[in-house]
This record gives sequence, C-alpha cells and structure tokens, in this order.
Amino acid sequence: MPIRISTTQTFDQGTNSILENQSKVNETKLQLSKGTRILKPSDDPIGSAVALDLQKQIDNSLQYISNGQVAETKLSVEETTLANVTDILQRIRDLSLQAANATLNEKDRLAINVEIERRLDELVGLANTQLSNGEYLYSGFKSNVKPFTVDGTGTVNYNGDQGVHVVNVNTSVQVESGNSGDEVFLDIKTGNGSFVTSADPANMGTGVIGNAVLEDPTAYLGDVYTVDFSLNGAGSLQYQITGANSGPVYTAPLPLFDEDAKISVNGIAFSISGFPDDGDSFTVEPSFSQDIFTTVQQVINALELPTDTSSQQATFLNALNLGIQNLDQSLDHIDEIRASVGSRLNVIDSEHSINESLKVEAESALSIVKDLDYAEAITALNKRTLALQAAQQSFVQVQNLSLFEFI
Amino acid sequence: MAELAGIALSGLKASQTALSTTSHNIVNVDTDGYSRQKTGMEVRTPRQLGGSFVGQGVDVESIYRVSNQYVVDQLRRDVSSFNTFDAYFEYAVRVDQLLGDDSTAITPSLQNFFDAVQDVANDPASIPNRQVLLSNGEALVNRFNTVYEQVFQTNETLNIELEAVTSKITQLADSIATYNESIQAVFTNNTGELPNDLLDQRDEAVRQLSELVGIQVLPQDNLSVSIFVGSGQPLVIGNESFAMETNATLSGVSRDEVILRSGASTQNISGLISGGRLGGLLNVRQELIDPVFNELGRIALVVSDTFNDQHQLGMDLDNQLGGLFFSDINTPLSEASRIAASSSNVGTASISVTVDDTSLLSVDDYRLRYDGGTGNYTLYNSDNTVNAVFADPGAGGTFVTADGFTLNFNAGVPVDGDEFRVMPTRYGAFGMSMEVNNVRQIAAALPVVTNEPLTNTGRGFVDEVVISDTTTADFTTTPFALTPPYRVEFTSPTSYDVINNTTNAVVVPGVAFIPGQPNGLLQQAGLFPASGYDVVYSGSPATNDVVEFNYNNGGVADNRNALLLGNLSLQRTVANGTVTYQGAYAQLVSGVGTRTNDAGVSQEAAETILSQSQSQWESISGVNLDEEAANLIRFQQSYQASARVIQVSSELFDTIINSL
Repeated sequence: MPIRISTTQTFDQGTNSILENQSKVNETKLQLSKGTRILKPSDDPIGSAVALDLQKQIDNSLQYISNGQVAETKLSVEETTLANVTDILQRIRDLSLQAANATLNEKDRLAINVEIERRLDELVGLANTQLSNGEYLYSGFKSNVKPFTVDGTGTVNYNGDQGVHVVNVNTSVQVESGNSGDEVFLDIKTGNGSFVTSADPANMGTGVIGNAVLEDPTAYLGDVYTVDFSLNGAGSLQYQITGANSGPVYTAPLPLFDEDAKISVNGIAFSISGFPDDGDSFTVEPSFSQDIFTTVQQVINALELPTDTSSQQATFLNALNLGIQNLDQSLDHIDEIRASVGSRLNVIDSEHSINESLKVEAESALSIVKDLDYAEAITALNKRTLALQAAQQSFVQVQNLSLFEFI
Repeated sequence: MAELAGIALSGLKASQTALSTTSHNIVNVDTDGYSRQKTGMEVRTPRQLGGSFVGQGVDVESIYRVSNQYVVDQLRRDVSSFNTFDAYFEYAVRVDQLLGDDSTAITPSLQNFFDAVQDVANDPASIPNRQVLLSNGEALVNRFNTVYEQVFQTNETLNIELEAVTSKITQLADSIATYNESIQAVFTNNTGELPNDLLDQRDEAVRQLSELVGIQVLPQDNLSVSIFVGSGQPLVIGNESFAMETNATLSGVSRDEVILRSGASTQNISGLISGGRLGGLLNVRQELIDPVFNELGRIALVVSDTFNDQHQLGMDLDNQLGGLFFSDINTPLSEASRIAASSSNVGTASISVTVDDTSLLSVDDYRLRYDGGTGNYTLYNSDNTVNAVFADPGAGGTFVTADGFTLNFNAGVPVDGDEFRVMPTRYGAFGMSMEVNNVRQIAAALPVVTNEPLTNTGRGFVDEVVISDTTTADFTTTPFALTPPYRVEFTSPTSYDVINNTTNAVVVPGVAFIPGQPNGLLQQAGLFPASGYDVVYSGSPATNDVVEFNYNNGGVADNRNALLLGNLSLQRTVANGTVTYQGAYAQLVSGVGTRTNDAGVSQEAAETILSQSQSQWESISGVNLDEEAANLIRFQQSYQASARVIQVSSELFDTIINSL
C-alpha cells in the first residue's frame, strides 16, 4: 500500500522547498555583498568573539604607531635643537681657547666676548624652543610657560619643572618623548664631573690649580676643601687644607709646597702648578650642578678679567680653565642627552615595526576568521540557485497532475 | 420487482451519501484541521426466503472521519515545541544582530574612546585632542544608551506579545469550552453518532492553543477534553474555561508576569509555563534579554566607575582637582531604580541599592523576600539559590552583600511575604551620561610634582608619584597647594627627615631609606595613605639631598593621569578582575551568539520533526483530490448502476404488464 499524500501536502512541500531555497540563496547573496561569512554573532559565536579581539589588537597597534609618531616628532625637534646647542657650545669653547692665547690683548678679548654673549642669547633662544602647537619643548609639564627668562642682572631663570612627558608605544613599553629644561640645561655637573677646583680671584701668586681626581674611594671624605698657603718660620711655602665641615687636615708642621708633587687629601688628589704667594687660597669641592648659561657667563666673566700682571694672568687662567672645564661638561652632557634621544628614536622605530607586524598578523588572522571564501560562496550560490530552479520546476510540473484534468 | 426497486433505491441513497461525503471532502481540501471523511456502508439485514437469504440492499452505517488520535497528539506536542524555539529564535536574532553590528556594537565606541585618551596623553595641552575625547565620550555614552534602548524596545515588544498571546489563549480556551459543550450535547442527544466536524474544529482549536503554550490534554468519557498548562494549572475543564492574563506591575519593572485568573483569585504562573510561543517568549527573556540588559549595564557601570575613580585622582587644565568624567553611578535616582517592589506587597518598606564595588557585580537579578515569622530577609540569586539571609535591619539600616552592592533600608516596615526584585546592573547602560562638559575639565595631569634641587649630589631619582585620594586634607585645605607642603631631606644615604617646606619644622625625623629599591617616602614615614599621595624614590641619594613635593600648578603638559586612564582599557576590571571592558563585551556577544545559534539549530530540528508529524497527519487525515476524483467517478458509476437496476426493474414490470 503506497503512502497517501494529501493535496495540501503536495502544495506545502512544493512551496516550502521553494521558500527554503530562496532564503539560502538570499543569505549567500548577503555574504557575498558584505564580503564576510559572519553576518551576525550567531553565525559563528566563537569566531565573532575572536574577531572582536583581533580588531582590538589591530586598533591598539594603530594607536601605538600613532603615539610613536607623536613622540618621534617631538624628539626630532629636540634632536635638532640639541645639535644646534652643541654647535654653539663648541664655538664658545673654540673662542675661549682662542682667548686664552697670551698674545691677545684686551681689545681682542672684548671682541670675542661680544660674540660669546650673542651666542649665549642664541642658547637661551634654543632653550625656549616651541613646538608647532606653541608649546615649549623644555619647560617640563608647564609647557605653556616660557621656560627660560633673563632677569635684570643677566641671570637666566628656569620657570618650568622637572616633569617628563611619557608616551605608550606598546602595551608595556613607554618612551619619554622629551626632557625637561632642568635636565637638559640645568642639571650639569661642574668641574670634571667629580670635583671642581678653583682659585681665589684675590690670589697674588701665579699658582694654577689642575683637575682633582678621586684617588682612593675608601679614604674619601666628601667636603669643600680650602688650600691656604702661608710661609713657615723658615720662609718656606707651606699649606694647610681645611674641610668646611671636617676642619683642618694637618697639624703642625704643615706640609711644604712642591710644584711637581701632587697633593693628596682624604682620597682626593690634585696638583697646583706655578708659585702661589703667601695668603693665596684654592678650593677643591665635589662637583655640583650648574646651568649651561651660568657656565657660559663664567667664561664671559673670566674673559673680562685683566691680564696685566702675572698674578692677574694666573687668576685669569684659573677662571678660564674652570669655565672651559664646565663647558666641556656641558658638551658631554648635551651629547649624553642626544644619545638618549637617539636611542629613544630607535625604540620608537623598532616598536613601530613590531606594531606593524602585529597589525599585519592580526589582520590576516581576522581575514581567516571573518572573510568570505569567494570561490566557495559563489559555488554555493550557483548550487542553491540551481536547487531553487529545480524546486520551482518540480512544483509546476506536479501541480499539473490532477485527475480532474481528465474527467 | 418492488424488492428490486427497493434494493436499487438503497443503492441510490448510499451512493448519494457517498457522493456528498466526497464533495464535502473536495470542498474542504483547504480547511485547516479538516480530517477527510468516509461513508461507511453496511449490508441490510437479508430476508429469509425458505432456506436461503435474499439480500435487501445497502445502508449507510456512519460517516466517520479518518483520524489517528496518537498522531493528533504527537502533532500537537511538536507544534508546541517548534513554536517555543521559533519564538526564542525570533527574539534572539534581534539582540544578536544588535550586538554584532558595527553600527550598534559597543566595542568600536569603546576603542575610539580609549584611542582618544591616548591622543590626549600624547599632547595633553592640545584643546582639539581634548575635544575629540569629549566627543568620543559622548559617543560612547550614546552607544550604551542606544543599545539599552534597543534591548528595551525588544523587551517592550515582548511584553506586548505576551499580552496578545495570553489573550489569544484565553479566547481559544473559551472556544474549546464551547466546543466541549456542543459536542457533549450532540453526544448525549444522539445515538452515539460522532459529530465529526465539531471534533475537527475542536482539535484544530486545541492545536492552535498548543502553538501558543505547552498543554496537557485529558479526554473525558463524555467526549469533552480538559486542558492544563504549566505544572497542572487548569485552563479548560468541561465547558468551563479560565482566563490567562499578563500583569505589568507584579514584578515592579517593565517585565510582564503571566497570571491565571480563576474567579477572583489569581496565580503567577510565569515560572511554571513551558512550551509553545509563550514558553519561548518567557525563556528568551530569562536567558537572553535579562542577561543582555545586565551585562551591558555592568560594563557601563564598571567603565563609569573605574574611569571616574582615576579621573578624580587627576588635575585638569585649570589646576583644579579632577571631577567626575561620567555621571556618578550612585545618584538617588539610580539607587532607587535598582530595586522594584512587587505590586502585591502589603508592607511599606522602601529600599534602595548602592553599588560599592563594580568589580564584584554579577549579571544576576536577585529576589529579596521578607519572612514575617523569623523577621529575616532572604536574598535569592536568579537561579533561586539563597544568596544571604539577614535580620531586617529596620529603617535607616543597611545590608552589605558579597556581590558589590549594599541594600539601604530607607523607611517603612515590611510585611510577611513582601517581595522585591533587586537589579543592580539592569539600568546601568541607561543611566550612563557625561559629567564633564568642558574640555579644560579633563584631568590629564596628576596634582603632585616633585623637585630635586640642583644642589643634590646623590643618584636618587623619583620613580613615580602615586595619588590615591584627592579628598584628603592635604589637597582640600588650600586650593592649588599641598597642605602641609613636604620636603624630604636625606640626613644620610639611608635615612631622611620629612620636613614642612614652609615652616621648616621636622614632621617625621629619621625615617629609614633602603637605597637601590623603590621607597614610598611618605608611606615609610607613616604619612601615606592619610596624605592621599606618595612619592616613590629609588637609587642612592646622598646626605643633604632634598626632594620637594609641590602642587602641579601650570602642569598642562603632564599626561601622567591620561596614561593611567588609558591603561584602564587593558586592565581586568570586570567580573572579579577576570576580564577587561572589551573582553566582557566579547563574552556577551559570543554568549548571545551561542544561544542564538543553539536556538536556530533547535528551531530547525523542531521544524523537521514538526513537518514529519504534519506529513503523517496529512497522510492519514488529509484530503487527496485525485483520490476524491476517483471516488467521485466510482460513486457516480454505482449511482448510475443503481439507477440502471431501477430501469431494469421497471422493464421487468413492463414485460409482465405487456404480456398480460
């Protein structure tokens, strides 16, 4: 006995299979027009969560790249200004060495001084560099405040703070996108970086103090030491060294001065050349921070000293030596900062390429998760269109079969 | 001869009846629920003639419908199950599309917002960058509001449909009761003949009812049927039916409950209903719509709360301490909205809900019930397990839950059986709004800076400045200044004094310092966390080195707080610190996707099963026109044959008459 099929069933089955095929064709069409196989999360719940995460990674990488570009711009400006600062300091150093030449007269020195003074103005100008948006590069967090101003006495004051701007260039990588003016122009060690030696401008002799070095760290006692020369009973030149906090180093009889011997005290060694006079004094102290402008001003002041007598000459040389030493420190310091700017630019560069490749990887992963396989989809579309046609044709044919047609 | 004519006449009558039945079948080919009918014929009792029996013709014994009760029952169950999944799927797809579409999803807005935070960090003094952050913040808030609104609309549609479905159920129950009455009447009046068409109509009504709700059908001896829903709640008994309705106020929120009315008494059967469209609607609301409301709300609350907390630790472009960025999550209005009293409550207790710790929030709705006997409140989780039992703290009292929120018992007295629905997160996405409206109010900086004078000779350095609270006296006593202003002076490489920078008085002397590792300068001096800020110092400072702490006046290029704000998007702040904002949303999307996908698969399966049982029913009870055409010819021929017999009998009669 065959299975009975009711007339309703024949119709319903026909229309249902047409409707079903239509909806499949439509879905494939939608996938093709949007180019994605996930039209809504339920099409692939896990895939859509993964896609969200990948999209986040891509967006984050793009943001990190853009952060890096911002920092790069600022650091490039900084690098340019610091290169100029180096040039200027170098020029000032050259000029000072030139001025140290004994053959120059006061008038020549005055001319040199005029140039150095102009260079100092330039230096202040560079320290007040502004970015394209009008913000000052070297004022720390107070980027709206002009960082360096010159007061009536010619002193350069710093109005910024020690804040340093930091930028994220990757999830856990931060880069300082600048340096505060304090760090660049102010915090520069004097002397040779460890000690500063200086002579009393009132000295009458021809003694010139050289660099001090740390000879014995275990014996080192940090203090400001004054070397005072005097004549002993025999008329020989002797000296006493007195620490500002620690008091006199020697007890009588005091050591005698020997031009060729170095003087060692509490782990520090230095030498004094020439012939100091009775009553002359020199100072040896740990380096302290001095700003670049004061250093240049020091040179200028030294160049203004008279050099008529030999003792004046010694005072002049002592002062100029100190100035040049401090200039060298400044040059070194600016170089260090430039090196750090360079390495930061490198970090930004490498993070840029890391982020680029992360982005590319995430994009290709996203494409695998989300993108439509066009060949597959077009094949499916053809197949489904064919099935739809078949359903339509069979519907029409079956509906023509009716016994009523024949009676 | 008369006998012959009588037999022929019975044949004519039978054929006529059969033709009528066939015609009835033909014209009802498109009638829903119509079962084809057949004419049952029976041989007339023969007359005994001598030792043999002479046939007397045919009688119509009955007209019966071809129907298999087992198949009818099966079909009804399958209809019910298909409609459950169909309704579920229909609503799930809406939410699914809403959450997944780029133009309505939360993720792109969240991403844009935090990208803008990074851009502010890149250049905190830039007004355009700040403007973008403000606009993106507004866009984020709008997106949360919009998605909430869309889900809310879906929920409203569901409420409206619940009302329509229940009213249709009531109507069908009523007509089934009426059919029961008519069928009973015919059955008792008649001689056991079945009222085919009435039975068909009632079957169809029952089938329609099963589309709407899962039912149990119990046939009675008198041909009537009783119908029950849920766990045995009567809908139709004999010729009496009960009304199913929705109640919009019972839960206290826009979440209609289904009740069954019997006279004056009503019963809430929302939790008992299963099957049919109604069951699907209630399921999708419970499993999908409520969680989406709550998860969206939770993400909105966590974003607002964590961002606000960090923003308030910062300092804006005008040196003011950071304020709220998004609206406060605990306004009196939002606190009151988080709990709804059932309209059936007798007591007067008025309760509000404060969210204390957004990281602890779950996505559950809770049920709070008061038991007058013990004087205790019981807090139930959404799966009806007990979360907490506690004595009524009375008006003015509070109860702190373990799930990140506190119940505030503001006023009034509860009565035994009073119920509240506690929804800490449901309105989170709705209530989100922007508080900052001026770009200068964005707190990208931190309010404290340090200064190390150039006279320092050591190699110490400031690691970081930590701000934990800007409402302390240190910040609030004098605006734009720290009170007292501290200065740390190292008395040796391993110890320091904390000194008042104005009066030079030593505040805390001789604090130990460990070189080479981070030291919280104020914490080690016992001043932090009361101070609300600390300076972490590392390296090896020298004797007489100094670190000064200042209020960050003019620090427009300070991006430290912007960096901290940006980091929030990477931190696992949601669900007990297990997942990030974006991760929580991805989980929501994938959860809804999975449920929708499951519902789609189940719906297809149920449809296949339904179409099978439909085929089976059609195969047994459906009308086939070809068959009826054949029958038409057949009965026409038998009618013609009977007529021919009459003619023959007439001719026989004529033969005799003529021979006379």
